[in-house]
Amino acid sequence: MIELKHLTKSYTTPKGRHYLFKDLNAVLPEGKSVGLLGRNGAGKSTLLRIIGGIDYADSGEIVSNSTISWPIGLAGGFQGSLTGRQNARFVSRLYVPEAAVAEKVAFVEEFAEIGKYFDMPVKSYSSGMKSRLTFGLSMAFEFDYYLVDEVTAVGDAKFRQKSANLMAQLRERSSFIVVSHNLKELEKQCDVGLLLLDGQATFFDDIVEAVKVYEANVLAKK
Amino acid sequence: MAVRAKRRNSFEIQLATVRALFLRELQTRFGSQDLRLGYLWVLLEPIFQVLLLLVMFSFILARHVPAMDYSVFLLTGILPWFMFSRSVNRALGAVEGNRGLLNYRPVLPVDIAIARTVLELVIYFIVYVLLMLVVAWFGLLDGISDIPLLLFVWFAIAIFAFGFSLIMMVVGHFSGEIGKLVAVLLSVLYFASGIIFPVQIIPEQYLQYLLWNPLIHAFETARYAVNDHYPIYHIDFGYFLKSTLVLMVIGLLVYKFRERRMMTT
Repeated sequence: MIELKHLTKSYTTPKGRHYLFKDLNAVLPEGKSVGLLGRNGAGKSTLLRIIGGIDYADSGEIVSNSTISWPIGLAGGFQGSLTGRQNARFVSRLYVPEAAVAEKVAFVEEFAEIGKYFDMPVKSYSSGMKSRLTFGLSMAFEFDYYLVDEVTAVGDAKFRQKSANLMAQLRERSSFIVVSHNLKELEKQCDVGLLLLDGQATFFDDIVEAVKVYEANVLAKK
Repeated sequence: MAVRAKRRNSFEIQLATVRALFLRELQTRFGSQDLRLGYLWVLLEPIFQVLLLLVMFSFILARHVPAMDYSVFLLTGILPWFMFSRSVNRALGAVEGNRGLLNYRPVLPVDIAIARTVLELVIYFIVYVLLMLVVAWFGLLDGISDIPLLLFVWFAIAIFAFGFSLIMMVVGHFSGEIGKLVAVLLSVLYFASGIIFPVQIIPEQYLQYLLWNPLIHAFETARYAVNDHYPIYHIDFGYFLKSTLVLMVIGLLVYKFRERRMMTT
């Protein structure tokens, strides 16, 4: 369970303070996957990062004793001059005791299927290979919640199938918090929804309901 | 499939994080596949720098210092200085330069500063020992008077560098412009820390101002530890230790005050 308490987040712009959300309160129920909906710039990714504990709101707090992943598909932490193996080892060291690092790295190597590129500098990777590495790395650790920020399917058909299978397997024990503009995908992956609209957040027990309201709003504004 | 990792306490997490960052930094800087020399480069780079300075100052300027060969004098000042200035310089851009790393929840900005200071300490201390051995092999060193004191001074300078780095990390994040200014001031400090000349040659009326600089007291004490005939009038190592304590307290306070701000986008 993750509780969002009185969250307010704003940015200063040349035209004054812009609020992403004000006094946002919500309880993300145990074992439910959450879809975050909103227009571009509504603050979905920021909220995702705040929930993940790697960004902070101006005021308010996140109350949770669940383990939460970093945003899946994130490549920002990679050091280009280091190999895939070295980068995987670094991240593993952050999350598991040294004794378990080798096992994690082996998992990533097997899952990513990038062959001998695993021992070459990450900066020599194609974007597809980099995605395979980042995705494999995210899947190597077990969290209560996985944060998914606009991860479009990566790799070829076979890799996508493998990823989908693994995510289905993870879903049995973990939940996902997903930011996506692909509404069909959201309805498929999530149980509940959180809609960010004009600085206000609304929680929906049913993702289908959330998508409906979101669509109605977006279309109405056009 | 993975086993759910058991909860580690915050100290274990921080220790593991600093270790991971240390190893990553070591590999990034020197062990990358582009450089075939690999880890050897860790040592070769500062050795070349020091040798160049040594040739420049000891042969061209033909300096003389009391109680020891000029090479020993220079090494004992310039290597701890490198450790200090490298830590501080890297701290200035540490937050922006490592945004990607801060995406991993266990990583805090302070861990990056710790890992870097430890890395600089390890690198430059090893270089110091190696070069001192080379100098001894040439017969220019008559033993070390007080090894425990020498080790302690090195350690104290590392702590001093860490406290200063914490402040510089906060300052560099607060304003890149001030950061650039600090980088310039550092090069001035280089000449005002008694690294390439003994402070005893400076006239008394100027020396009293120079002695406000805590680093002078540390470098001179290190030389005294190497050879206890080395004169250390006016030098007060206690002043350096007090300065270190003050820097650490200020560093931790401003860091704690700005930690969230540094992690906020």
